[in-house]
Amino acid sequence: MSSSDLFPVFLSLRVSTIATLIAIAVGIAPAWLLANKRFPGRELLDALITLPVVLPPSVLGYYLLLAIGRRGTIGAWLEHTFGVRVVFTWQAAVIAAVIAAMPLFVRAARGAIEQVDPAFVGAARTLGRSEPYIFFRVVLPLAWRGVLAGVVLCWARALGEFGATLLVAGNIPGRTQTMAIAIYDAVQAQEMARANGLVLILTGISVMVIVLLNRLAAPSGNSLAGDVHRLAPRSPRRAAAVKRAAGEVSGER
Amino acid sequence: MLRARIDLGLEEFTLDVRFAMQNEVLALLGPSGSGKTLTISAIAGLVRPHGGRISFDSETWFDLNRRIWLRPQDRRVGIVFQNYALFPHLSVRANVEFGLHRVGGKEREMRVQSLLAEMRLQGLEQRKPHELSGGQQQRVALARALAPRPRILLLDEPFSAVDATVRIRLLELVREINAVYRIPIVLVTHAIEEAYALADRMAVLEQGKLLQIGRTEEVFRQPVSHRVARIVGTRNILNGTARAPAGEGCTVVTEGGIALTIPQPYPAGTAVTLCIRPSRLDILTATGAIRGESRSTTELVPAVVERVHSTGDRYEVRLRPVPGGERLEVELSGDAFARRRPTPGGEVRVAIPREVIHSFKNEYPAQRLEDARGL
Repeated sequence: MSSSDLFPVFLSLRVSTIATLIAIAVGIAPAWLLANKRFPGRELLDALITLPVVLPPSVLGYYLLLAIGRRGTIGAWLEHTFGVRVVFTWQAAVIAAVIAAMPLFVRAARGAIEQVDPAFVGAARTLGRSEPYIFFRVVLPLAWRGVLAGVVLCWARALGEFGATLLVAGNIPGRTQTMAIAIYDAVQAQEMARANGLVLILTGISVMVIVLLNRLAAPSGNSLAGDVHRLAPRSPRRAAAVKRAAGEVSGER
Repeated sequence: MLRARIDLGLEEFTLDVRFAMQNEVLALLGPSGSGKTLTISAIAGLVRPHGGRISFDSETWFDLNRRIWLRPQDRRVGIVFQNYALFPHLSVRANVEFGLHRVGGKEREMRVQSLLAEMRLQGLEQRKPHELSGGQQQRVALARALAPRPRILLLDEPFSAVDATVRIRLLELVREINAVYRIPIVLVTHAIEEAYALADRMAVLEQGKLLQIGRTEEVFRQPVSHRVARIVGTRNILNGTARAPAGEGCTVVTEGGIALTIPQPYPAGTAVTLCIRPSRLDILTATGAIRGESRSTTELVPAVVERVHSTGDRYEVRLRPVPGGERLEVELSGDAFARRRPTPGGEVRVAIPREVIHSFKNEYPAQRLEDARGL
């Protein structure tokens, strides 16, 4: 493969990693809120966050186009105020990936946070610690496996994002052509060698993701690749949370 | 002094308790699901009641009418959870230090060292909770709760997960804590022995209601109701009806037909429940008699020995009074047992001193009593 053939690989890695970091930053607060608080609008927030998982990616992309397109509300404002055009840039691919993949992180993180015994939080409160301190020093360390599983799932989903990305970022070789789109492009152009290379890379990454998720579910580390459904005896709840998260991603594809 | 009035309505459950306590050990005794843990969670500020008021000394922690709610962070309550809730990712030392963030370096070090010594945890500082025995975990939980000098200590079923020998040492430890720290201690338990061994006063809960509160001994000897008698483990509970007045008291005929004269007077026809403590009874031969002064104040009930059971140095004898239907339990010391030698099937007489018969008017109509017993 030539270096220009590898461009989609690096672009995809960059887009999915940045998108995942944004998803973590934006998604952790709603994950905590949904796990711990009862408030008006909770159901609505939950639905809004879950919606991108259920919506067909092309529909999602269409909505995004309405928002950040040149005539879209946000897009027009951005272009008018800053002279920035978002659509058909790699940044648009990041936005598409965030929207499509963040629900997986939020749901997994929320599940992991919900699994933390409230007695730990209660004990920390009676010991006089502030809520942020409790979150970072008690909840997160106890929920990290599930949260990290969410990060991995989110990253994998962002890496494979196709439909919404195609609509908002387009298929511009050397600029916005991610791996998933490059595969489509190669097949359309009958360039099977190019498609094969990219398919192999994505398959390899997917296998690694499954192994990683498995490790996260079973701290003993003796589980078999692909055996996401195996429950680790030391922490069946945690394993179940990871399994649920994994089920969501496989069901979605 | 802690004053609590807690109303909390959940689905199919309503908690309604009120009590006050000084620097003493108060046991909350009741079957599981009676609202004990909910009560201390409300005191700690971990659940918010729907009504009532909680105050400590002159400080109000919760008052629905005045819209006062103090966060658990600001109450300075020490709590030991049933499963200890030690932070599993932190060392023993970090657990104990967890609440000492407002205490300066030197003072903090001193407190940690003295607590580790007090709880016999030296050498375990760097261990993680899962590397400790149940008793050690419990002591870490106590040390952690005591470190920030709480104004009140709440213990939720603290002894349920440790074996008998560890339990005895922990009981002593809690007594020491009470003596040294001089703070109110609330002990949640469903085990009568723990309440009896530790508590100055006892509150009996069932289904979210406070049935009785009083000095431990008093609640044991004089339960106010059938339900309390059952919860505090009274073994000889007899239901009957008051008949003729007799001297200062009256005669009660039990459902099984035993006629006993008791010191308390009740109008004829009153449904009365009798509680008789097994350790205060004696067994005589079928023709045996009581000599001396107590003769006129002791009831003699003919009975047949049903079963003899040894609990080490004590013997529990179960008897079937001759009138039929009921059972009586008598607890004898090893010596007394050796002299009496009751054997199953033997005909004897049970001596019941009148003053050990505790009685109360039954809260149930006779019809519903059977249902209540079925609980």
